[in-house]
Amino acid sequence: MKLFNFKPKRTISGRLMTRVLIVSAFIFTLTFAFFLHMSAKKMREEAVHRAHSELSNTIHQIDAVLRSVEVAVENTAWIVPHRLASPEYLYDVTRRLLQNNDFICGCAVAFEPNYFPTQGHYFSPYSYRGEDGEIHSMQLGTDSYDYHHMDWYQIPKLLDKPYWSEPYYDDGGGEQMMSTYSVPLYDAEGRFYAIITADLSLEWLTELVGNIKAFDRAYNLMVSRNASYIVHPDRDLILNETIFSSTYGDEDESLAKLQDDIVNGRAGEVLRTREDGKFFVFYSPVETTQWTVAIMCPLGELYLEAKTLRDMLIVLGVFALLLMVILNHNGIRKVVAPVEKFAHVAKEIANGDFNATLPEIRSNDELKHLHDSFEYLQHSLVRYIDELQVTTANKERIESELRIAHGIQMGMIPKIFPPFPERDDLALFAKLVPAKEVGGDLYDFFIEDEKLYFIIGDVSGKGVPASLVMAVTCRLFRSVASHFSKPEDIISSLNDSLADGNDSNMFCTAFLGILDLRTGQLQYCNAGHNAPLTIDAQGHVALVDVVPNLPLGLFEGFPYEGQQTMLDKGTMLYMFTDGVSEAENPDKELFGDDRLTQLLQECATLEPHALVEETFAQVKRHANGAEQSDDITVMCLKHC
Amino acid sequence: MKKYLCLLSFALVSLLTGYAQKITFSPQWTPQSQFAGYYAALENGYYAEAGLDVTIVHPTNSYNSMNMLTDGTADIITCELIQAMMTTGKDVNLVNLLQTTQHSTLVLISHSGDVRQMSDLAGRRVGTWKGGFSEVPYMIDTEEKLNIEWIQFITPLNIYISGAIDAALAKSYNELLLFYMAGVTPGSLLQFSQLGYDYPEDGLYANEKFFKRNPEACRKFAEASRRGWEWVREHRAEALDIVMKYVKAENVPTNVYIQKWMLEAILEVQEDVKGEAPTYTLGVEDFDLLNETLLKHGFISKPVVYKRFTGGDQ
Repeated sequence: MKLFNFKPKRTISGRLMTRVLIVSAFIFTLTFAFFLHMSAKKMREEAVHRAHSELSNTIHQIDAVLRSVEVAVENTAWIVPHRLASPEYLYDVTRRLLQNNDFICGCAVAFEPNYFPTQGHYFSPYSYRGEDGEIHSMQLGTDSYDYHHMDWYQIPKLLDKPYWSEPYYDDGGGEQMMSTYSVPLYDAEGRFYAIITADLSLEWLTELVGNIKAFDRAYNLMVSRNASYIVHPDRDLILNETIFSSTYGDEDESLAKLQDDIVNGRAGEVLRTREDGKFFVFYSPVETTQWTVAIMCPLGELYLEAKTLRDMLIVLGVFALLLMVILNHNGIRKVVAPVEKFAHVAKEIANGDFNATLPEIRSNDELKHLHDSFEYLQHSLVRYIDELQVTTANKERIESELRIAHGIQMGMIPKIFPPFPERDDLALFAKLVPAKEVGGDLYDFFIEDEKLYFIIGDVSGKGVPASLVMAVTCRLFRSVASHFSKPEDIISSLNDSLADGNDSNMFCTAFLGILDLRTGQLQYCNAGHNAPLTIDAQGHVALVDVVPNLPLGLFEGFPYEGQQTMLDKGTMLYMFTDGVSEAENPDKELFGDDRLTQLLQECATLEPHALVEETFAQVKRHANGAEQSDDITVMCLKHC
Repeated sequence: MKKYLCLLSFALVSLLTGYAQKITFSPQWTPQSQFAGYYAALENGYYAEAGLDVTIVHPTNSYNSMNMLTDGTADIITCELIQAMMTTGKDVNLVNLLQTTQHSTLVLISHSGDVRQMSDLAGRRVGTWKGGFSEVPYMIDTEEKLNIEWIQFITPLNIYISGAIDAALAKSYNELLLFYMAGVTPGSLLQFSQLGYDYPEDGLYANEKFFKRNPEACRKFAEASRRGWEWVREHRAEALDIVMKYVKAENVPTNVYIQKWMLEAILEVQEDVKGEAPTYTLGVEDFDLLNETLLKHGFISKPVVYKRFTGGDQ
């Protein structure tokens, strides 16, 4: 199973080598392809030139032979009118033409029907070379050889001009494939009366056309104007098939061009696809007869040199790539070796060895840059760790001091409940939860002369500065309160003390009260603090009527106004800081005065201790995990 | 194997009876697919099975099948219906034994691309066969006074290509294929079947005298020939091989491609209605219409009697 999960180790040098190899191979291929394309184009042009040059030479030779026949006939034709008086002498005319021209194998003077009344319907003196080489003469026309309807007679007669017949097997005369050159003869009045002909054997064409050697594996052929093969390596096709026989019914652009060119006697070349492969056909017409000589060259033959060149280039390309791989392999490995060392160093640094030795780089390139970056990283890490150690120590010290300050602050407020267990006319409970280690909320109380002095307050801001003002306020309340009988006096004293030298403009809201435990009379003074609430024995919740006044510490000598009311037995006085009403949930929704009032109405039967705890519980539920942003303090007392 | 068993059994029957009717048959031209059914009947032994000893003799340019029938060299020949009707009552009376093709295959190919009807060739040179087959164009020429110069040829290809004639008559199953295979693209092509002259063509005919003496042999020959054609229709590739065997034996300058297309064309015109099986019978309506046309144009002097012409009075 491990075998299947095996992944070869990939290296930068390997990847670099692969990429260089792919890019190089791509460039090589493009270059070679372009070179081959241009070479093939050039070779094709050369092949076309060579083929047409060969064709032209052959066609010149064919034309020369055909023209010599034409000259021979014209040189003899003039004698015919002088022999008409003695038709039998016309045999001598035909014999003489053969005697004077070895290349001509037959000659006839064919007359119109009944031209000589004594000679009958057919009269055509004809001489030919027999198999014995001797010249024989005969009268050609018979009922079974009706020469008047033969092409060689009829066509020049109709065209009024000499005519080379399409090649044919003449089983009535020479009994071989031949073509006949026919010249119409006219009497003094311009009336047509006979045709003089010369037969030319076409056996020499096979040899002449067959000897064209433009390409090694090409073969040559010749077709007449009616597209029949005159020369073809397969002799069975000669005069039996045409160049279009096997493709009849096919629709092919190259075939149509070939067809059009052959019928109209034009030179050209086309690429033909046959069952036995692709062939390039070069063709050119014989001027005299418009027969077409063609070279059928297998496409592969045409591009033989291009193929050899291609094979050589492929071998050369592969060899060059291999050489490149071998020569560059060590070089690239050497160049990228430091990268692996850097990887080891990075691992060592990660394990805490910030001073691990970096590989030595002598070149001034990206690796040198990497080396310098690693070096800088090492120095930075060492410096950062040192700074972090100092910072951490400072933070721990501050946290320790704050913990101590929290203990001190909490020690300044009463935290033993019930505070007056011996008394049954008073139930009191208070709780302060700072938002940070230390806070600015405060509460305090004490009894002197059957009077309960109490205060609840909230210093502006949070943290250490607020906690210091809170500590001063608490200490001042303890030391000042018992010297005054009226709450507004105590408040004024506190205000003056706090305002004195208050450069930082910190202030403290406070609600201070003196409850006469014997009568239930409550004197109180409010310094910008939230108005307390009362909850009577029947569960009615009501705001205590307070004059707002200013918070403590803002204006020295501010005239605070005191108030008084009666706190009936069973009635609770509920005091709190804005940390309760302004407690926020994650949606920034405040706890609010309405929710607090509803809480108090629902929990009116509870004792102060339970009521305060319930308040904290509901505030916590409302906050629903949101961070506490302000100190929260609640103090509740009940006159029993 | 089955064929050889049939031949063997026939040979035994012949030996026992000591008699096989000799028949000389001449198709109207040199070997080609036009006569594939007769070659197949001979090669497959259908004639022999019918008790006939058939010899096929092909005509030459100057000695055609009608000559053979007239002088008694041939007993049964193929020829076109028009030719048969025109001959009947003159040189020799003919009896139609089998009507193989039902439609006209006569076409006219011209260099000009503007020939829509025969009248477009008025006063021009038009090639036609020396051996006949041109009665319908002659009728049109006479009737419409076109003054066409008719040039007789043995084969039309070279004379047409040379430009010596403006147009040439051809058979769609034969010469037209030669034109195409020579790379010739017709300027215009008139089909007489679409000009209102769709007469039946090839049929099997006996000399009436021979028919009267040998009615049963003629009937058997016709039936075996029909079997031959039906076999060809089902075995075209094998039939082509048989045709090429006869072609090579007579050294005819042709090739297998032409013969293949010719066979397809011939089998198509044998169908009365395209796609349906041939009836091989001469329709009375076609016969009467042609009778009337030939009389009108003076090609015959008195009507040919259908019943006698088809051997019905025997």
